[in-house]
Amino acid sequence: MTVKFLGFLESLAGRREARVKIEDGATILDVLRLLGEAYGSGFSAALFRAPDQVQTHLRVFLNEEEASMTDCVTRGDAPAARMDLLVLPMVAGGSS
Amino acid sequence: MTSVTDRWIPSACGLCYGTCSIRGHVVDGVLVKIEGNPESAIGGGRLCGKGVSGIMTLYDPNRVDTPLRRTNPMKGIGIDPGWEEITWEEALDEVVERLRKVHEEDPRKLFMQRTTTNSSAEGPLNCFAGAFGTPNIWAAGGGLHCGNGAHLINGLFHASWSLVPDFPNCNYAIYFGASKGHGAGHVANTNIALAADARVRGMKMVVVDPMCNFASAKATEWVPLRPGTDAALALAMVNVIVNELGVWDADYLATKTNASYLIGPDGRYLRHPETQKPLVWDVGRDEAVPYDDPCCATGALGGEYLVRGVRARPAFSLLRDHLRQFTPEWAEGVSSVPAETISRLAREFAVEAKIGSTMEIEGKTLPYRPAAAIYFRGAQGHKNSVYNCLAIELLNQVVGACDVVGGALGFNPVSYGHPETGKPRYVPTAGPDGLMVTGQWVAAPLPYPFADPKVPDTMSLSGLFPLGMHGTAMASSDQEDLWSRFNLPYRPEAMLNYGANSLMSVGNSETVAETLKRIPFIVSIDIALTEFSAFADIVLPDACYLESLDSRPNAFFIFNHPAGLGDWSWPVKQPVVEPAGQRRPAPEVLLEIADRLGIREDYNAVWNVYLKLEGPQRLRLDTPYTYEEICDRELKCNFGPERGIDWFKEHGVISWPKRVEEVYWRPFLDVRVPVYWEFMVSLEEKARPIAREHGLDWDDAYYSPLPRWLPCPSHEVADPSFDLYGFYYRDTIHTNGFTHENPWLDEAGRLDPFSYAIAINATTARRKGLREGQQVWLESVHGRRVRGRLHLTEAVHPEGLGIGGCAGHWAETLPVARGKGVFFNELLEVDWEHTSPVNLNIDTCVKLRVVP
Repeated sequence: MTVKFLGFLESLAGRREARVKIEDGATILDVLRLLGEAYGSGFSAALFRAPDQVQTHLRVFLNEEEASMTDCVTRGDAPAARMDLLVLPMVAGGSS
Repeated sequence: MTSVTDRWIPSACGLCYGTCSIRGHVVDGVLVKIEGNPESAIGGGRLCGKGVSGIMTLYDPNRVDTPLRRTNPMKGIGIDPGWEEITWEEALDEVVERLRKVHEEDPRKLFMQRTTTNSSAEGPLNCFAGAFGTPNIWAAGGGLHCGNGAHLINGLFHASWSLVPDFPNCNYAIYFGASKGHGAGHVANTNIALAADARVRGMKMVVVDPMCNFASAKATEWVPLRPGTDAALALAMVNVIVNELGVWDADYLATKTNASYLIGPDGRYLRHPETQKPLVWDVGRDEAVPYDDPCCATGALGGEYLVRGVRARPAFSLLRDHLRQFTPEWAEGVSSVPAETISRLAREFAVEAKIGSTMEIEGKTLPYRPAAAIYFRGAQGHKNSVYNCLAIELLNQVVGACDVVGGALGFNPVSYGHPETGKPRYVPTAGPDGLMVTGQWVAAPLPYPFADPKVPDTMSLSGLFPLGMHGTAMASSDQEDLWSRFNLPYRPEAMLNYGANSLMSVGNSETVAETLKRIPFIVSIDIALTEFSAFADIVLPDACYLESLDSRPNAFFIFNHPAGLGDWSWPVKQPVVEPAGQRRPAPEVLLEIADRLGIREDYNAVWNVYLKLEGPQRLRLDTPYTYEEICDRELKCNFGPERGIDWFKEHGVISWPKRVEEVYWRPFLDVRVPVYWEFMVSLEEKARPIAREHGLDWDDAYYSPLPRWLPCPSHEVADPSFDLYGFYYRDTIHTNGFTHENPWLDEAGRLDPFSYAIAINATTARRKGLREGQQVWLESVHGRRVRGRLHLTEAVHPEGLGIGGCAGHWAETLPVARGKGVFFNELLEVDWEHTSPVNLNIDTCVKLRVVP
C-alpha cells in the first residue's frame, strides 16, 4: 500500500510517500505504529501523543475516504491501494 | 439608447465579522445601494451604518489595483517601500519561488496572518496553512485582545463562541464589558432588534463597564468600575448569592456541572479505582459512586466524606468556601463599585433567575431562568482574562441560567441540520470526566479537552499553554529571547498576510515593526496599502467582499448566527460587481499558489476535512478545482445536489426553522461543565517544570482550580503621577482599523464627539486643569506616547481614559483615515510581562498620565 504524507508530515518524514507491506487484518493503528518507528521521534510525536494514543488532529484517509484508527486497512477483499495522512492543528473540529 | 439592467443581488456584508445578509442594488453594472436582506435571519433585513457604507469601500479610488513589488530594501515605519507595478505573473513567480524554498527547508518557517474583520479569510487561510504544513498562523491581535479568555469560557460552558441573553424571555441581563445587541460584533443587526424589543418589554439591563457608551447608554443601570477588575466584582456577587443568600440551582449544579465531584486534599477528583471516573457522594445510598452511575439519585453538593480513607468534599462545597474571601467590601476596594451596589446586584440577579421555575414551549416543559450574565472584550482584555470571564460565568452557573429559557444562550451550539439532509450537524458530547466537548469550534485548540503542556514548537509558544489560542510571542519585543529559551528550531523566513494590519492591531507599532523587519520576505494580499503593507515585499490586490464569493460567510453557526428560536439561515456571499482593475479574490490566488507549489493534493485534502465534504461532493485530491467549484460542493453536500452555487446565487439564502432542542438544548444533552477546574492542577504540574527548565518566569496563581482576581500590570504601577487607566472600546461606527478609510464612516466619526477623541471624566479633567477639546499627550509608564483631543464627559469612570479603537492611521496611502482619532494600541507593551501565563492573552489596560 502507498502511504502519502500530506502537509507538515511530508517535511517530518522527509519524503512524500512510502510503500508499506500490510499484514492480514492490520488496522490503521498498526500502520501508524510502523510508520512511527520508521520515520523517527519527530514524526512519531506528530502521530501519537502517548503510546497507541493518536493525536486529536491526525486525519487518515483510505482510498480518499476518511477512516478511523480501528478500521482494518482493507477495502472490499483487498488492502486499500492508498492511505493519506494529514495533521491539522490549525483547523477547527469538534465532535459531530 | 442603451438598455438599463437593474438587479438586486443577495450577498453578505464584509465590513465587520458580523457578516449580515445584504442585497446590493446594481444598475448597469454599478452598485448604487446596499440594504439588509429580509429573507435571511442574519440581520433580518436590518443593516447598520457600516453596512450601507460598503459602496464607498468598493469604489474607494485609493484601493490597490495592481500587484506591487518593493524596490527599497530598507524597511521601517515612515520608510517609502518604493513600489513598482508588476504583472500577476511576475508577482506569483516571485512569491512561489520564495515559498517553495521555505516549504523545502521547513514549512514551519512560513508565518501566516489573517484579518478578523473579514470572516471569509478564515477558511482559505487556515486550509492553506494546513496544506503548506505550518502551524504558525494567527489573527494579528484577534484572540489576544478579544477572545483567548471569553471564547475559551464560552466554549467550555456553552459550547459556543459567544453569549447573549435569551432576549425574548430574559428579564435581567448584566453585561460586563460587552455590547451584544448594541451595534457591534457577532450578529449585530439581529441582536439590535432583539435587545431593543427586550428593553421595551421591560428587561432590566445592567452594564458594568468603565465607560457609559453603546450598551450602557441604553441600559437601565450603568455600573462604572475600574478597568480590569471584573473578576473582583463578579466573585463578590457570586459570594453573596451562594453564601449570604444561600441561593443556588442544586439540580442544575448536580446534574449539569462537576459541582458534585468529590475533591481530595490534593485538589484532584477522587476516582473510581477501576474506571478512573470521578466520584460523587450518592445521598440516596450514602456512598461514593461514579458521577454517571445511573442509580445515583443526587450527588451531594455539601458535606465532607471519607472515601477509602481519604477525606473529600464536593467541588461546590470548596467553591463556596473559596468565595467567602471575596466580600463586597473587599471588591469595592478593588473595583470601586460600592459594596451595597454589589450586594444589591447579586440579590437582584438571584431573585430574577427564578430558580425552580419552568416554561412550556412547543409542548416541552423547560427550565425558565430569566437572568443572564454576559461578558466579552472589556472583561476579557486583560492578563487575568481567564478568571475574569470564569468568575462572571459562575453567575450563570450557580443559578442554572445556561442555555435554557430566559438565560444566557450560547450562539447555536447544537444543529441537527436542514430537514432534508441533516446537515450541517454538530452536537456537544461528553468528553473526559463527563465534561462537555464542543460539537463545532472555530479555531484550534478545542476548549476541552486540553492537550498536555509540552516544550513549545510554534512561534506562539502555545504548546506549553494549552488554554491559549494565540500568543503574543508572534510579535513581541522579547520573542527572540522566548524562542531561544525553548530552542525553537526555526525562525520565520516568509510571511503571508491576508487583510490584516498587525502594525496597528497588536500593540505598539515599534515592537511589531521590529519583528516584521526580521522576516526576510513578506507578501500581503489586501484591498489597500496599509501601515502593514509598508513592510511587504510583494502586495497582491484583493477583490473586496462585494467582488467575492464565499459559500459560508456565516459559518460556523456558533460564531455568527442569531441565538434563540426562529429560523436557521445559510446565506452565500457573491460578487455584486466584477472585480475592477487587476484585483483577484484571495481564495483563487491561494489556489493558484498551491498549484504552483505542487501542494494541491494537500490543499484539497484539508478542504475536504474543513468543509466536511462527503460522498460525491468530496474533492478528488488530484483535481484543480476553482474556488467556486469548492463552494458548490460544500453547498450541495449540506443542502442537496439541486442546491449548488447556482441555486444560491439566485436565491441568496436557505432558511429552515430551529427546533426547541437546538435552542434550549441544555436539558436534552447529558453533558457537564466545570465549575471546579481540576484539570488546572495537572496542567500546572506539567507546564511549570518545562517553563522553569527553560528559565521562564512562572506564576502558579493563574493555575488555581477556582477563580481569583489577579491584578493587571497597570494596577501595580507605583508611580502616582500615572494616575489614570487607559482602555479602548470598540466604536460602533468603525470596525477595528479597517473602516477609517471609508469616507462616510469617517464623516460619522468626525461628527461623533467620542469616536476620534480621548474621553476623560469631566470632574477629573477639571481637577487637573484640563479643558474640552484640549490636545494632550497620553504617556505610559514605559514611555510610550500618543497625542489626541480630550472630550470631557460624565460617561467614563473617574480613573478612566476611554479611546475608540483602532484609529490613528498614519499611512499616506490612506488619505481619508490618516491622522483621524487616537492610536490606542501604541501604548500597549507586547512582552511576556504583559502576557497571561495561562492563556497568552495580552493586557489591554495601561496606566497613563496626561501631559498637556
